[in-house]
Amino acid sequence: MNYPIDPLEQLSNEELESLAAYEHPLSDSNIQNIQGRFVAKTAECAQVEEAAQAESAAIATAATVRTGRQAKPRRRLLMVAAIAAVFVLLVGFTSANRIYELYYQYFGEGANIAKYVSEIGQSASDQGFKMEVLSAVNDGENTYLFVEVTDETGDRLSDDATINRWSMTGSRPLGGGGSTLVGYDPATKTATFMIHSISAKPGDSVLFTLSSFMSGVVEYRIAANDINIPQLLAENEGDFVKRNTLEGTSGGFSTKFYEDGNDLDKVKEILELDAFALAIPGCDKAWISNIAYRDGKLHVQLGRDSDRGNAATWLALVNKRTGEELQSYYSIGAGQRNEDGLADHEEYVFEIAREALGEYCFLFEGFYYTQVIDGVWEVGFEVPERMDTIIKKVGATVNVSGTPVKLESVELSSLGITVRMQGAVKVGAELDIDVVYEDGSVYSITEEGMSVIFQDAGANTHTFTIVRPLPGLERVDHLIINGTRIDL
Amino acid sequence: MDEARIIKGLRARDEIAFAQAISSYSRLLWVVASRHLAKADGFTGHDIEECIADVFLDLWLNNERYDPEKGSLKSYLCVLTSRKAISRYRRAAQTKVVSFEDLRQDEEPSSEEAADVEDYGDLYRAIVHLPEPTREILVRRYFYNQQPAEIAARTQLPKKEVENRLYRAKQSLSSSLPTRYKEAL
Repeated sequence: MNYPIDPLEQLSNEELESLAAYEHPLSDSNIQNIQGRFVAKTAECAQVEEAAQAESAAIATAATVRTGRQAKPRRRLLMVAAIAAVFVLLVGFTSANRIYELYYQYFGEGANIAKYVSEIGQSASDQGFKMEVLSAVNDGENTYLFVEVTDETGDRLSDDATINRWSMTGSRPLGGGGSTLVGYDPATKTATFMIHSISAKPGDSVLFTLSSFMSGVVEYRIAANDINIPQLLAENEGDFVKRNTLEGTSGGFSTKFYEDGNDLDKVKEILELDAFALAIPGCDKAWISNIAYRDGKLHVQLGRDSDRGNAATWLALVNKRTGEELQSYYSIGAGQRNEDGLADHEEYVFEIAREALGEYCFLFEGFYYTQVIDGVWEVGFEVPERMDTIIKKVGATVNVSGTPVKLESVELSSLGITVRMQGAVKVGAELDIDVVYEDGSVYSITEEGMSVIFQDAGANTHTFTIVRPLPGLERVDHLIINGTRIDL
Repeated sequence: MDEARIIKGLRARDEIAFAQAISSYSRLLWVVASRHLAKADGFTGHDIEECIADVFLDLWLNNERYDPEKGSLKSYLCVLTSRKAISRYRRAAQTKVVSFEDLRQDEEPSSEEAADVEDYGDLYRAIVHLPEPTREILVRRYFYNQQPAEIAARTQLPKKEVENRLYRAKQSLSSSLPTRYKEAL
């Protein structure tokens, strides 16, 4: 009997999605979830198969030292034990499934990461919150944790939660990393974070500490029509003072600022701090603390509330007639650093003719968190065994953004690629890497824009860690990095 | 990756081939599964995801069961999905009686139905331009195989109105309608 052709087979993906909307709306995340569930199920089956094979081996061993008559009942007992082992594994499947899904959700399709994941399952509670380190995986260079935070007593955790401070310490100093919110369950008030930690090694005993997180974002966007810029400038024009660079430089700049050959470190003078304090109508997180006009540029200094939940305030100008927005030429931090590491003042500089100022008003945008939760949640665990990794020393020269640089080594794991190179590589330089398999198929790690690239530049040595899952690591034949073939 | 290459990869339990197959066919299988696991019966998108993941797991474990001589991989996956969805439906609703239409999904289609298959692309494109709620009624009838009474319950329209709209659609879309649906109206 042939397989019947389903009429739906004739429809395009767009048409199918349109049909799906009438019963169960379908999005790309559903497809990702299916991928994740599939990976979880195959990993579970692999565990079951391994358990069964181990039991079979035990049976065979036992049988060889017994007579045929004695082996039969023994075999029956061991088969029962094997079935029990399978049952135990299946009972544990739900939590493992969740963990595999999380890894899959974060790392995307194609990777067989699940088999390398170690369940941690350690938790700590403080301030009415429970933190659980679910699992970890390591590729020698990077350790990835999934951590859940649950509000057990209140309603203080929302789907915009962010980790403010965490650390991972061991018997030796560990490098930095990052954290990302990857999921939120409103029913249990649980936020799930992925933590990426650099330089913990397999077998290290480490202590993961969460000490602060925030939640409950409020965003604002205020056009301050009530503030007359030319009048404010005429009545309060401030003075410039020498910038104290001891505290380091923070701020931002436009493309034009960079193309004009400028550098924030070269900014020598800033506005005097706190010449006055003008409240911003509708905003209690920042205020105008000085203003001046010099050399074709408007300088406006903002003071900002030191509350740690006060995440960011940005200033732009908006044309009152056309609505066109004018972003700053550059901005630079000033004053003291708050507890959150941000400067308590920021000076915004706009390229604008003085006579045009009357056409514009200030536009304040920003966001803050209503919940800042401090505490101590600590869990100790052992960094899991390193997953299969290919390490290759290379001496080839590769063209990176127009500059020839020496490629020192590449490391490939199912989690991604680490490339080390020596030479003058600009921050933000791009690597275009094709992974070529034995059968000639190519997996481009940059084509879908999902790669997360950590570039650590120091002493002219650059390390690119590209978090991008690699399927079929054992079948990789060679790489092509920016057009240069690297045999493995 | 074309179907031949996917099939070759599936035989070898190649991760890329499975990822590609899931990416290529899940939208189709989503609607196939949704025919049996309706929202009104308490099923959610998670159930559909689980059902389709089970289909691919089945393919992973028993890929030798797919015989290219009997039809395309796409068709095989549709059959497998219908079976998995019906099983899931039965497990979830022990007391419910599975309809004859559900059970028919396991059967080979008649030659008349096979001929009807030719019409579905045109039918979709004819329906998609109709105003709501007529479009939803026709989608539920022709693509989800729902009966007028079920459609009435799910759209909260009187059954008579559903029947009237189906009748008028039959008149205006007569050239696009598969034969068996013309007869059903």
